[in-house]
Amino acid sequence: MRPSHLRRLGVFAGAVVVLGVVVVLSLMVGRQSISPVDVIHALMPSATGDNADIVRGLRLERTIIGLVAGAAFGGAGALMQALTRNPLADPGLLGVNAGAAAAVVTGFAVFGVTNGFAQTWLGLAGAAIASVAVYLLGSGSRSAATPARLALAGAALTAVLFSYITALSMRDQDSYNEMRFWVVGSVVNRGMDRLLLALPLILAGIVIALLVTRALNAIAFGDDTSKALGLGLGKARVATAIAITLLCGAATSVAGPFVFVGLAVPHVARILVGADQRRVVPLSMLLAAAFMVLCDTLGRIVSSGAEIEAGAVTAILGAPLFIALVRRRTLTATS
Amino acid sequence: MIKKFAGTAVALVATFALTACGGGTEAATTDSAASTAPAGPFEYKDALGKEIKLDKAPSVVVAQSSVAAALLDAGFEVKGAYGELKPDASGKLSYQAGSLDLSKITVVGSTYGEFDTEKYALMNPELLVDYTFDAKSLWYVPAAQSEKILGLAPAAAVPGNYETTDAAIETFVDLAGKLGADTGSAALATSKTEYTAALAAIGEAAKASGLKVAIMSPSTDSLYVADPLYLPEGNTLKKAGLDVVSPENPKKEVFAQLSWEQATQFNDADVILVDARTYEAGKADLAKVATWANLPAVKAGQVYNWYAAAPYSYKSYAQIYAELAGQLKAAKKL
Repeated sequence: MRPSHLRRLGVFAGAVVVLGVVVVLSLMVGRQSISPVDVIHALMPSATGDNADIVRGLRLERTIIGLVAGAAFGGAGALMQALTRNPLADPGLLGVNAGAAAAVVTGFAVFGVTNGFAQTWLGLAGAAIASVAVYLLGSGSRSAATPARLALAGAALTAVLFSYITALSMRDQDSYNEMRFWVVGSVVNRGMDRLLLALPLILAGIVIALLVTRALNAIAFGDDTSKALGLGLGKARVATAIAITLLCGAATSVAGPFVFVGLAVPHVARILVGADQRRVVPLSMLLAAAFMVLCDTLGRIVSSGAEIEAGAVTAILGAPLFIALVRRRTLTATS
Repeated sequence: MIKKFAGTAVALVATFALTACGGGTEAATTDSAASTAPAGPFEYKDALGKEIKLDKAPSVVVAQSSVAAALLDAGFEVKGAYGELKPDASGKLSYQAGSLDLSKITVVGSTYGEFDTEKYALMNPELLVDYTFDAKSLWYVPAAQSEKILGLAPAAAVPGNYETTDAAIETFVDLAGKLGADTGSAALATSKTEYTAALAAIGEAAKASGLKVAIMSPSTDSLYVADPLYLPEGNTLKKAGLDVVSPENPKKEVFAQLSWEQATQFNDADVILVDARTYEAGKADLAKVATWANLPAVKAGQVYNWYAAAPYSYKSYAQIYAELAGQLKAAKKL
């Protein structure tokens, strides 16, 4: 084994350890102080009572949802940055989150859809339609979709869709209560049943994501170079878009929209293991899962008043982290 | 609702400051013969500290729905209303609209943030009445439109918060009287008797069982617990003899926003009153929250409606308190 291999192995091992520590913290820390021994007791399947309700009912559930949603958003962000060759790409960029949210909100407000199963698929369909719409808008008549045009189309569509969601949510009190969920992401009491509906889709997204990483390395060369090298990238692009849609659509339907997780974490991953997508994508998933759970845990303890939603914490922590990254590296660093 | 109000209240402040002087004091000119209005001038000192003086009592009054409903029960009919006025699937209005009849009034807005300024202008309004919760802005008047709206007719703000429901109701009876309603009517007297009787029944049930009651607005994200000392119905129920608990470390506000981990503080509550505006819609999701589902009061099925933002009238609170008295009588000390 070459030293650089060892180093990368070390990075992955380190990420797993960090993830483990964060998970333990998430189970130990909360508004109700429970001693570590009691937490372990409460984790036993036979345990009942207040501690079991808090540790197993609340903390374990939000930890699992945070892990899954974090991995999905991190993976999707890495894929999106590679696909669009745009270091500012974010699951919001291709209008994926907004599309998912708009579809679910329409289902609820217009057709009264509250069923979790239907909502998951609506979210996915919305994400897919939005991705296609952005791709068509960004392609234009004369040229293929460039990163800049895709980003502009995505930003425009996202703005339109969020205005639409806001308009619908103001229709009446019930709509407002239901749709608060689509404004700030949170992992509290999202329901394991909802997660179980989304899990197969997220797993499929992760598998596809890991399979396309080699082709993504070729995409990094740019269209012209790739063509010159004789690489057919059309299929890989479609597969990547499908993976992004699956990951974001399903994760958003569970936890709501999150920002900066998909944006900032892949940059950290690239700093640690270089530009090879075969390492960047899985490491982004691991780190984003840890980041998400950490943000949720911090949200429980940073204020003396109410808990702060994980979605708000990721934005608060993610923004300066991202600015620091942008200042540290030039923006062409994705390739 | 809670967050929605807090967020928009701030935005409303600035606009209102600009328009309060212009819209408040000038007398509205009206050529329509006021049939119900008394001949004398209308004078009212509102909750924003504004003196409203009109040559005669206004006949075209437009009010926020809860305000309009309270005035109606006190004997005064508004011509138009805005607020929560969207009928549900079965065509029924929310309890917040009291006995309002949509066929008899012009609706200029049917939910929060909705106000049809043109429709309002075409009514030739003479007075607008709405709550104020921050002593600066009107509750359901959208900030962006408030300058225009307040320019069309003077606005009277009624306080959003009261010490007791008695004080709240009397505020509306007083205003209705000034607007020309017969506040000595037999109907009003009957409602008042029923109101007093319902509170007495609550007192008896409380004394017999010693039930501990918590008032909450649970959502899946957070548990909002109301402090009865900052809630008119909370104080009234306490005065009637009911043991309504305050959240730990009270914040001197209506609501304390708690983590669901802290729900276990309420293991000793025998009865939980939940926000009727939102409870039904979120019931199924709440059932999956372990620290909610395992609260003794929830397990025992002793969860009843708290009719938050109901119109402050003897009629509506007589019904609310009578319903609660019946529930408390049937509830068991856990």
